[in-house]
Amino acid sequence: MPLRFTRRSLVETSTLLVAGGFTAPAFLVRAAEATAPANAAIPGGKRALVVVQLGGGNDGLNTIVPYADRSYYQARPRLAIPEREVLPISEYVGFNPALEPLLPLYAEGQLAIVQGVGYPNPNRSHFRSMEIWHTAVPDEVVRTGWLGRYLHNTCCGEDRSAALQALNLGDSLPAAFWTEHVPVPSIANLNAFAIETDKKYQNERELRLDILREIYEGMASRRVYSEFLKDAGRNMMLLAQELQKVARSAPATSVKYPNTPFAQGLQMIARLLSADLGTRVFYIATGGFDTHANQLATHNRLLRNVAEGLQAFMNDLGERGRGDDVVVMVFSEFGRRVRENGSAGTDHGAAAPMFLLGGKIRGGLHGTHPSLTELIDGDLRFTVDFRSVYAAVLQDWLGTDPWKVLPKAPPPIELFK
Amino acid sequence: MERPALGGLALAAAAVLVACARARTRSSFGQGRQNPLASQRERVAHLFRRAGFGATPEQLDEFSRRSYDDAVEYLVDYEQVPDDLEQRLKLNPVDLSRIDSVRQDWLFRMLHTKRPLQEKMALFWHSHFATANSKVNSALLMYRQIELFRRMALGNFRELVLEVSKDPAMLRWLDSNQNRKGAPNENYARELLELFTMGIGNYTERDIKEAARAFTGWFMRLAPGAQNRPGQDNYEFFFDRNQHDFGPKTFLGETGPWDGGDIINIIFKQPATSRFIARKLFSFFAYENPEEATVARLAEVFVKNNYELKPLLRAIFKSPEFLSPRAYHALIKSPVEFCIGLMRELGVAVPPTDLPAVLRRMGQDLLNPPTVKGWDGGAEWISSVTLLERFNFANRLVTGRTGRVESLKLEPADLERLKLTSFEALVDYFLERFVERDVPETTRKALLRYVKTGVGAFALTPTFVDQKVRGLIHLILCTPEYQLN
Repeated sequence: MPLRFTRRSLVETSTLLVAGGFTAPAFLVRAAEATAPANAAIPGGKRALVVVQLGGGNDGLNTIVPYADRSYYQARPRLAIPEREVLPISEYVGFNPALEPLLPLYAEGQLAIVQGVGYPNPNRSHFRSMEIWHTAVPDEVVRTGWLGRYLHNTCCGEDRSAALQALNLGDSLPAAFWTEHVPVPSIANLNAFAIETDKKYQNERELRLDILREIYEGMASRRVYSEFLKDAGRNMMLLAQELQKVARSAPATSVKYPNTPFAQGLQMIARLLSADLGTRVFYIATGGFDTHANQLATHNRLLRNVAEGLQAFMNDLGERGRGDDVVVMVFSEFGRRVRENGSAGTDHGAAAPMFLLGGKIRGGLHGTHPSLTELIDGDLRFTVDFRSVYAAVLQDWLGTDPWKVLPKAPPPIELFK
Repeated sequence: MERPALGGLALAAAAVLVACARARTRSSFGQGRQNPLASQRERVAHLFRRAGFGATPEQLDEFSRRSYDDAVEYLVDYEQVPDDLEQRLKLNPVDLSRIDSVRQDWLFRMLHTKRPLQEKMALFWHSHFATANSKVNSALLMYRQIELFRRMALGNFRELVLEVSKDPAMLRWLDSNQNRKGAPNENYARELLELFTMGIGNYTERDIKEAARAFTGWFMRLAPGAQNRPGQDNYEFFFDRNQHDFGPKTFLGETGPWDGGDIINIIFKQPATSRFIARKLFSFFAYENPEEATVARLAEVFVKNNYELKPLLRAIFKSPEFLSPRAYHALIKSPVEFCIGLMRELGVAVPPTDLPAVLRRMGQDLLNPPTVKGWDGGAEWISSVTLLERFNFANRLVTGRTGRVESLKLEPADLERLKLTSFEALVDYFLERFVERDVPETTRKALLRYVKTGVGAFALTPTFVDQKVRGLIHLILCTPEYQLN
């Protein structure tokens, strides 16, 4: 999906130049000298948001299980979680046993479950529905993501140099970060992030890096992607410098993370949070939830992976004294059909629960569970619009006006203490 | 001196390029090229970048003398071009039990084929009918699917869709082999309509359900003599009458006892299909977000030619849009294009064994596209991580020198032949060579500063060549413009 880029004026570009050389942007100086807090001027202080994407369409009914509903067992003769195995939350729903690692957090009131989240006229295409969650504009195709609009409209203002305002963990940038401006960096590995130069002539390394910066700070050629590539290159070079510092200095805690890419990614986020680079939004995705066939074992493994990773992350944040500064928001592009299919799996559906975690979260169940009998085309009817969850995060956590980011969103729901 | 064929050829013909570079006036710098694709040579180079992995200097010479249309025919009608690829591949046969071996086999083909458009189209189909080994879990079936794309690369699109619908890797990837009478699995039917043929918005949920019924019983089974273990898991298509729903279906307004083939025939009656494919191919080869009139014109060519792909590709390559300034350097190289193009330009004939892993880190895990939608391409290719990988892969190939990875051979004698007499001539020569001088003046100045720093008068000493010329090449490969195709 191509983005449309605006061409930044030469004047604006040249303000980034000082005598043809390279200047460290403000946040680098801040990080290096540890003077005023990096976020002092930004509403919301040191607060950060971590978005967790469960790709493929997580089966909400087998995640938060309506164990007291006969229709659930009727619709899913092969896939239903037996009542005796469910970890009860209320008289009606309970956790899938694979989510057992989240129980302590739930007991401490640090886990909110928003039931029946969706949007009008649900789309059952992975790509379109994911795009809807990313753009937060269900009724038309737009080329900016909700987090991209947040970062540009309200978070960082004109401070374009702040390359680490947001960070995506992974290889490709999710549409949620799309903006017409500075691309948000994506990283997969903290340690290997350095530009390599000719090992035989190490004495020239600094010169070569300096020339590269000069090229990327210079003029842009007249091609459609030139400005975009220059922005991306500058971000990459800044990030390389910053991450080398973090890799050398971040303190370890006693928390053991599972050896999964998801959990390792969360650990990296914890280290970056500790390093206090001023990053407001982190994004991490884990996939495989498109369980069309033989779902039970696969889904169990996927949920356990998520629960164990989140448990380690929240404990780690606690040890680092950052538990109250971070909110984790977990979503998937849709839930799955109420009735199981002929291959012991489930097809694409609609509404499903979202999770929010953090010390400042109002724990417990939110919203109403959709009826299992009043379905639309075999799918759950949503009871909470996902944009009202986003709006709550924007207003009550990131301290910004949600309407600047989500023009047509319904009002926020109460999710924070 | 023994030198890989491509490197020797590339450097031997370099003098021609220099002459060409000199002919261009200095005013071509500023913000890059003012009037791209003005000469036949540039048009041929542009065509080979898009329809292949870049022209060799001989190809550039030959087709600059002949006509642009000859170059199009050479690429499109590739059956006429003799190729010794199969012979060369026999020296290092593919191991069909290992997915990385299948990847390496394909990359070797892309690097050495004399029919580059065939491999380019296989790559296009791989991202179009995007099937991932993460679920298929069979190197052999993935290999066979790519073979199918190669065999039908520029054949008939309708026939290709039918063959793909029966391809074992696809049957497994989109759960067709779980699609049973009375308990349909919609996965294949949905993606067939949404991603493979018509595009979203041209059908209803009901059409998907009905199409899924028509494909029930399209299963696969082990071929005679095959066994279910790596390298021998050769499945074949199998129509299971007992699992097929023979009842009437209503699909896109037509009612009948349709099977999968009938569904495909109805899909090819829809105007959406030709537009969808024409748009996607044009965007892949020329530029993104094409004008509606262009798409409509190409779609008409496609339909008139009964969905044959060769006439459509000829129409794209010969269109004024394809040769317009808007198309010039308008696309971002995919990781495969970046790596294969780089190796061809540097004369590296043997891909590094870890090239599949390098490509994965650059965002193109071959035979494992991220989703059934394939790679989005464009801006999606570029993130901090993937750009860094590009810089560092270029560094390996340019300054590796020793070790198991083949890298650029560069001797003072190669450069002396070019008769370069100044730092400026040196920088301009390599800018012409790698980015057709399509860089802003500030880039050229920075590169000049680099080659001059710490050096006295201009002289192609062994140290200068080994240190500064290699350094210069690496820096040019890291420019924004070298990421463009």
